[in-house]
Amino acid sequence: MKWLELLGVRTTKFIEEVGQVFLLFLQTIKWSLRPPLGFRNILKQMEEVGVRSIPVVLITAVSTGMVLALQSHTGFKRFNAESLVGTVVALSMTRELGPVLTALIVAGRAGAAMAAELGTMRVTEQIDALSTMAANPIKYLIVPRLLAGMLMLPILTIFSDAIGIAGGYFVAVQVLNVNPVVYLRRTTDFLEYDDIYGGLLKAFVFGIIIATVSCYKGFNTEGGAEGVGKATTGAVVLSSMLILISDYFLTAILF
Amino acid sequence: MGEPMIQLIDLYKSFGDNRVLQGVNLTIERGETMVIIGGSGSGKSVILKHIIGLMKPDRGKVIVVGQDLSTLRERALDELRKKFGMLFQYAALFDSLMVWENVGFSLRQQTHLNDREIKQAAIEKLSMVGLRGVEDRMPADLSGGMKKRVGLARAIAMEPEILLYDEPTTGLDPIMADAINELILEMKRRLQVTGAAITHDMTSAYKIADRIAMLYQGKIQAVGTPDEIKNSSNPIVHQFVTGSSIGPIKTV
Amino acid sequence: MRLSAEARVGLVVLLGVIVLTYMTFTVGGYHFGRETGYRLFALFDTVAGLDAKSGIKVAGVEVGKVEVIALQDGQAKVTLRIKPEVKLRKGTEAAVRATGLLGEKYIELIPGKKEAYLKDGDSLTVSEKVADLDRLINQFSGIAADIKMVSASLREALGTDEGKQSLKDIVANIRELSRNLSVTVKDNRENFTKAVANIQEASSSLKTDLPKLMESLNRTSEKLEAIATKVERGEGTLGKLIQDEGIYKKLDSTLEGLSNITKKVEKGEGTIGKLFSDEKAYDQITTALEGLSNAVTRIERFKTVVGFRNEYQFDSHENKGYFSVQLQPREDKYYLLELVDDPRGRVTQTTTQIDNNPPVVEYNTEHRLKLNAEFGRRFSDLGLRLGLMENSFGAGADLYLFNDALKFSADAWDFNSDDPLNNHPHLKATASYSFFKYLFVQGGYDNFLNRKIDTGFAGAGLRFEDDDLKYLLGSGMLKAK
Repeated sequence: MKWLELLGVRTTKFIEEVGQVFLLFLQTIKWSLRPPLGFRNILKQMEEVGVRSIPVVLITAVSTGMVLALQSHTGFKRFNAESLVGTVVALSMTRELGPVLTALIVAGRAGAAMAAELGTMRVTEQIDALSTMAANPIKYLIVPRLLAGMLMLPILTIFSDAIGIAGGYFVAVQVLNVNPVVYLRRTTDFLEYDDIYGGLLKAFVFGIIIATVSCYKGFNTEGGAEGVGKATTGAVVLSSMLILISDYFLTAILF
Repeated sequence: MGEPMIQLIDLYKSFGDNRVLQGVNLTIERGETMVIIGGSGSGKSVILKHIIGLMKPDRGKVIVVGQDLSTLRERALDELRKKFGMLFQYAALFDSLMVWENVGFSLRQQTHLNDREIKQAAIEKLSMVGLRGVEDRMPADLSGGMKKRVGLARAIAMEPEILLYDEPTTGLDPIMADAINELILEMKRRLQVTGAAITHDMTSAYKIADRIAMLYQGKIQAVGTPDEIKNSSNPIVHQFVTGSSIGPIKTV
Repeated sequence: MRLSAEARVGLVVLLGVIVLTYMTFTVGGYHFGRETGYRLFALFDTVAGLDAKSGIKVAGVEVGKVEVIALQDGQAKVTLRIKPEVKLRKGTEAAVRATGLLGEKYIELIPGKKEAYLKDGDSLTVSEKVADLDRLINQFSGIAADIKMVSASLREALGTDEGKQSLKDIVANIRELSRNLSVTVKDNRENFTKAVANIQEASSSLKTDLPKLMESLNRTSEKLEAIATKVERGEGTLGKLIQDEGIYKKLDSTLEGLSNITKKVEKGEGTIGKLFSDEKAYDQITTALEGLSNAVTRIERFKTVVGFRNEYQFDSHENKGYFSVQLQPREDKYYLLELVDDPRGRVTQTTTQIDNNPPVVEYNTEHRLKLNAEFGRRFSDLGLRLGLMENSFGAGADLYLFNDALKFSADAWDFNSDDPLNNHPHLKATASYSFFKYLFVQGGYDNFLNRKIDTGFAGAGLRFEDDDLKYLLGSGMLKAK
């Protein structure tokens, strides 16, 4: 019965944590509505979350697009529909892989950094210091991160979509000798605004998840350097899980 | 003297099963420096965090300048906090900000001064704690003692009425510790602030305190002037101030 | 140039917006922003597979896209948005088509011939029912399933190593058989020629023999005549019987009695009379008669097989010809009549002794016609024959295999021959194989108990059933006419 108990504890803890994250999100929204917003802080976080994530996001996207083209080509070739590779790459990238992969990468990169930074601030009492200086830590620390995540994830996803489609095009046309005109036609014919904007909406939600979860984990760090490590890992794990779970529901709702 | 600045009334606080505060009663009067002594983990820091509203008591009241903290909303609490300055144990400087930005942090938050003015003010405060030419450095480049000074400069940036010191001399060599003690005395002299410090460093306590309170087992065991505490007949106080491992205080 | 943090963020955001704008425009194609072109409507019975944004084509060239598909009174009302530069004449018809089996559906417009052009809001006529591709695909898949089944069973039969091996064997067998056949034909060309000659000879000898036969028949009838005269003269028992008046009288009275009986029968008197006048009995008799009639028809349905065959005997280089008629009243019963041109028809032995030398025995053989008259019975794949074989008593057995195509026969006759070399019964083993209905080849070993005249033989023959004969005769008559 021990494992059953453990399962129960884990589940309750997970739900509780998600609830806490959600409460933190609401508080952050509340604080973000109170001027003044520290634009310099927001810019700084946008650079951290967005600009610095571009190389890894692009590399991931281009390789994903290329592999997607290669793999789907194998399948479509079997019934002479090679040009549909374009459709598959475009739809997969915009609807699913662009936002999700970008989010997972940003969660691993910027989310972890956020949790580590805030965790360190927590254990070195910098967050308390903020409070004592009448600067609300949520407003000062979380709001800029949340806004940066919300804004930069969609922008990264746009790059991811474009580069992924370009990578798929390159492989299909240059390597697999698919007719480029037909390929592009198939890409644009079947792609709709809803696919692109739906994907960006997903990215927006993922940005919120990454920022909020990472800040939550960082804020609730306990126990020195080890705690910071735990918070970092926890932030990546929890945000990845929430990204994947919410992706399902977003897909169900959006498309 | 005589006007109560901070009143702790029957304070209870537990963390899980750990009952840290079990009915703390303490009054700190305007202008005096109260030093709370006690063993490691005895809850001194908890008292300090209650005073500045970082923690809320399970039971009891914290009254600062006549205002019950537990009844204050966030914004009023922030208003009240502007009367405070706090020096953290490890200074708690913002790693991502330069020294002058750390010192001028409150100025940027609370005032409409521009960067240049803030920096000017920061340099002035830094000179008050005996630091020159460090304003453009990052906190990570500073030694422990310098961090404490920068922390002190930041604490006094908004010219607070109350200064809180969390273990001001811990982790410093005796000479640097004495310098910090001198600074605390100077702040009190120059800024007329009410002070509350926690420490287990008795040298520091004797030097900066107007009164000393001994916390043990969640309660204030004795309050008195340094001389009274030094000569206390209370076996707990006596054991602590003489630094003996033999006595009623259990070391484990 | 090192960009500030703000500039970098700004650059990224700007680039993002540019890319997004580009993608949006690309996806939107030509009708981004304000809708261009004009609208037409068409009512279809079904537009299964057609979607908004599906293409509209004229002669395969895209001229617009489907804007909306809505339901109207159980039909699909499709709004077509046509590019402004495309002008369509009135009378244009619309049909739902697909680009291929797996391809997307689109609307094909068949341009009209009228003078006036269609304008915004006009309706199109629907040219035809939607080519029911789904049904077609269903049929295809059914066929595919059949083919799959066939190929699966083929694979099972041939795909396995065993199957491959047997296939190989079959091919090898055929190859060998054809080679053997060609060799045999080449080797036996002479024999075949001889065989044909032999047939001619046989028929010519039949011609010469036939008058003799007729003569003997004549003689027989003469003798019969003589007997008849004797009988008339009352000579011999039969003659007395016929010539005796008393007997005649007896017969006369007997006939009278018979006539009386007949009268009685007619009146229904007596047992037989009752029998005849009784309806039940009448029915029984009718049935019996019917049975009899059936029997007669059955006899009429005798299967007749006429055949001819020749055996070439390897040792004596002689040919033995057979002409056979087989009468088969029932599947399992037949009578076989054969005329055999036997090269050892008659063997005469001449012993000459010159001086004191050991006597030289010379055997002289000449062709003779011999008769086979056998009664045969079939028991499933086994047949037994009994009767006259080459003018002597004999018996034989046949084993039929592969739908009677292959036949093994064993015959024994001539148990007491006057042939000086035929001291033991004549035993013969034959295997014959029918290539098709009329032609068969055979081979075997003849007379293997008699060492001096034993021989292997090979031969071929023709056989026709009566239906074939009717056909042959008929066509022959037609030719004769």
